[in-house]
Amino acid sequence: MSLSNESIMVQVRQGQVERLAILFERYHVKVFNFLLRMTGDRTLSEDLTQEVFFRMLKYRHTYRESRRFTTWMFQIARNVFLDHLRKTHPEVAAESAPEPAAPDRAPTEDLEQKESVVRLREALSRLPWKKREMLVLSRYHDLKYQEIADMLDCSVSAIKVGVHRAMEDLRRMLWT
Amino acid sequence: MNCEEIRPLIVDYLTDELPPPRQEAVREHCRRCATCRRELEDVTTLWQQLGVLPEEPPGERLRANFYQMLASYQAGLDDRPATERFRPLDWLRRHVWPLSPAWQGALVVLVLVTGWLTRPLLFPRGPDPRLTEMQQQMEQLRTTVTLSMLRQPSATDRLQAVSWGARLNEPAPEVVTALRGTLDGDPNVNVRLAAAEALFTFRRNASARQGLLAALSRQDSPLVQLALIDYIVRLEESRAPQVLREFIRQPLLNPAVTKEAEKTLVQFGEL
Repeated sequence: MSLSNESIMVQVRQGQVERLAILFERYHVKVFNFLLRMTGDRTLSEDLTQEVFFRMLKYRHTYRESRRFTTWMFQIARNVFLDHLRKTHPEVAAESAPEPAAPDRAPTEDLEQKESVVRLREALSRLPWKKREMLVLSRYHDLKYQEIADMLDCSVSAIKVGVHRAMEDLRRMLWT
Repeated sequence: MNCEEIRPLIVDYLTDELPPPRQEAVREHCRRCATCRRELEDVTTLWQQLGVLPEEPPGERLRANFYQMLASYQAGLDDRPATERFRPLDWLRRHVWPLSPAWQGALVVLVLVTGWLTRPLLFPRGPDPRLTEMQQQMEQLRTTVTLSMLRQPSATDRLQAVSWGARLNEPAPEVVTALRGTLDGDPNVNVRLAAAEALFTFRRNASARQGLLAALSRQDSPLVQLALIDYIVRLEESRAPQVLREFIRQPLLNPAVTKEAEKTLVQFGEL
């Protein structure tokens, strides 16, 4: 029987820091892909993922078991991404202007699928980062609007509108 | 609800974020309204397309860096200045340990006798099941990491994988098989040497013993051959002389290796 993420994180908080390895094995691909979709840069996303797990150790005392572990983890991932954005593009971090990223391309896919995947990635990367973040968290990370709203410190309605507008933007970019 | 009200709700409808009455209202509206139905189909298609965007694996350096960071962090926790740490032995020496040697002896005897008498109370039912479960999970984790890293292109990663594998208490059959595969086929001599050492660590396992015996004739590096001869001797295995006899019949062996194998056979009383 495997322990829940929450009880493992409590053990980490209590000083069994080596237990973080279990959470790393469970979630580092998810965190990496979240950051990859936000930055479009593989090497940078690997560095930022490393930073996310480092912060989990450093700020482990802030974890409360009443909170879903994945929500807390993505909150940290988001803060890491925002800190990076503030350092490199302060003007973009302050506004919701588009953050054009050059997405890395997957090496092995058949041509048709590859084209479709590349177009989707490019369109996703052209979304303003705030809309992109809402859409990515909602579509790829199994988070409910309420959890995303808690994480982003805004209302559920703002998330609904953000996801809806992100989908509208994507449709415009892909189909017109 | 009219079309203007329905459209912003279509994504929420897809993601099941609407309360049941509104969910039903969107469904009913789209059944009747061709424009909104097309809108729903478009959004559904795009939502599904987003879903097939493949998840990418990060490079292996991420895992290596993480474990290095974790080890450094743990080491850092133990490197706090002495003033910040509670040292139980110092405390006992200052507050409990008597100055007179006679009293010191009496205290030792008292502690030992008390420990012996209270043993059944302190350990009534063997090891703590939670501790056992945690140990099992760490074993499982090490197994997963070992198997995953053994497939990496970087020799450093594979070396690290072997080192992780060697720390398992009871290696799973797939770990022994993977280590045997590494010993037989890894292009890097250091990785093969490490795999041989790990298999020797698991020498109580029949498959690991067989792996060491079978690998000798498949190696071309004198270094690995010499290491394997040493391990085979230490296995105290009845099949060892036969394996060595067959080995020295191979053409183009390094003379130092042949000499070592022959010396070993002499020890076995075979030459």
